[in-house]
Amino acid sequence: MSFPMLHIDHLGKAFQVDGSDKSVLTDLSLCLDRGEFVCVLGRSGCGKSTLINLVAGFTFPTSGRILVQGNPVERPGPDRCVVFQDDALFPWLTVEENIAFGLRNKKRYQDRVASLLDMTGLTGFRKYLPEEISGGMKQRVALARVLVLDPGILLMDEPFAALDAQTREEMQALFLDLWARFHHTVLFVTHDVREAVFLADRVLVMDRGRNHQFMDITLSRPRNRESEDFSVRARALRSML
Amino acid sequence: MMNRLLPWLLPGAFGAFWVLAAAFSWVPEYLMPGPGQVLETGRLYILGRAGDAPYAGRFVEDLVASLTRVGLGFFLATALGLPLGVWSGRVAWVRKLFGTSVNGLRAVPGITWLPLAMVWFGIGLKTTVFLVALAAFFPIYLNAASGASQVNPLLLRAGAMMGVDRLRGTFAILLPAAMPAIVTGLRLGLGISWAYLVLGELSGVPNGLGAVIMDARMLGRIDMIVVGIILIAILGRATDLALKKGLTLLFKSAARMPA
Repeated sequence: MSFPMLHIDHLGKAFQVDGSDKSVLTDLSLCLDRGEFVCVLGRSGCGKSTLINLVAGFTFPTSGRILVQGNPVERPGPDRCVVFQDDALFPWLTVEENIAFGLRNKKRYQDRVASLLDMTGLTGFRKYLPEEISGGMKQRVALARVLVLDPGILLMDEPFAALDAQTREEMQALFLDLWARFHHTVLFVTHDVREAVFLADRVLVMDRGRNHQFMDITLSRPRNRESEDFSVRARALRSML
Repeated sequence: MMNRLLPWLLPGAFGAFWVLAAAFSWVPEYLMPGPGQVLETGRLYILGRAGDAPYAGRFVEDLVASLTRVGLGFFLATALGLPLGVWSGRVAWVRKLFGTSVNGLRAVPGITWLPLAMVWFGIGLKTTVFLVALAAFFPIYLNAASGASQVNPLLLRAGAMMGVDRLRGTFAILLPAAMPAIVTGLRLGLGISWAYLVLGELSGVPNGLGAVIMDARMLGRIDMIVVGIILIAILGRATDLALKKGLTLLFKSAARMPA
């Protein structure tokens, strides 16, 4: 019997606030096949980041369960790597050292690090410290340091939200190139409707209650952001929010 | 050029003023001897042969004695203060366990420990090392604790999702991220070590820079007191620079995130 890559089953999360339960995520179910790209849209406060934290294993659900290839998530691990919205690079390590950080045997995977530096356009910056490079470059490093671990699942927590519009589109294109090459399973949180239409196979629109909705994006790739079909999808998603 | 001269401007100006003050006898000799006499006393103390003059040739023995006491005390303070500090910076119950006691003891002036230390350890190495270790412990502990508690939790999460276990996370993420505060604590601790070294050596040990100063006071040798003060200033600065340099050579985080 084969399991889905990621199976989220009636997931719920509540926090204790002043003695009463405050629910931030209610009854969410979702299955991702290997290599599938799902974007998560929703208004702020609907639990998008909570979902990422739960799948990553940083926090634990109050109800339901999360299975990765049939195994319940118990702790964070390199099979479910996260790219955070905020800069989470190690400021005392160079670009290259940051990318190699998660590797146990750095010598053995030297070539892997070199090829990821190349793929993310960072080769010329490999000796730089994070404080010496731009926000877009930092997110490239954040991406490369998890790709080097070849994670089954990539969890993207609004990774490009803090970038300017032009850099954001560059990063989206770069990310799609890398995805086409490695075919990771991706759960990508965003509040940008057009980003979701550009990237995803399927979009989950989260709700503060239990009324979560899905929409398949059937447009062929590469997608043209200027096309009428693209705008139709974007409008449809916006109306679901 | 300007930056290289600037650190020497104040010592230079002070020296010039001292030369003038001596030349025009603004201050009587028995209160402050001139630079010439202090230089000569210093030369005899450092380079002279034993027996040439009262303090001649003692410097190396005093230096070794004082450095040993400072080194041992500072080492003990670091060995205890650093791990305990980092631990209480991260774990709430450890912070609760130590917080009140550490901050209470910190309020006790170091000099009040001297009589007790003399009763416990007698006169000599142990008393001085105890005082140095006690005094240096607090800045090392407190800075390590505050550094560890302020580490960006995102960095620890990033490590966890990349499969870094607790032990490696401590050494590869937590300590480097807290390094600027740790370095500050170590430097403050080393500085205060010298202060308490002299306090410990004033209690009647036969050797050490503090002992020389106390001895010179009883004999009215102001020139020798001044020599001792200048030597301690130079040694304090030199050991601080050596500590800083050593840390930047040993740890990337100390080199790349200056305190």
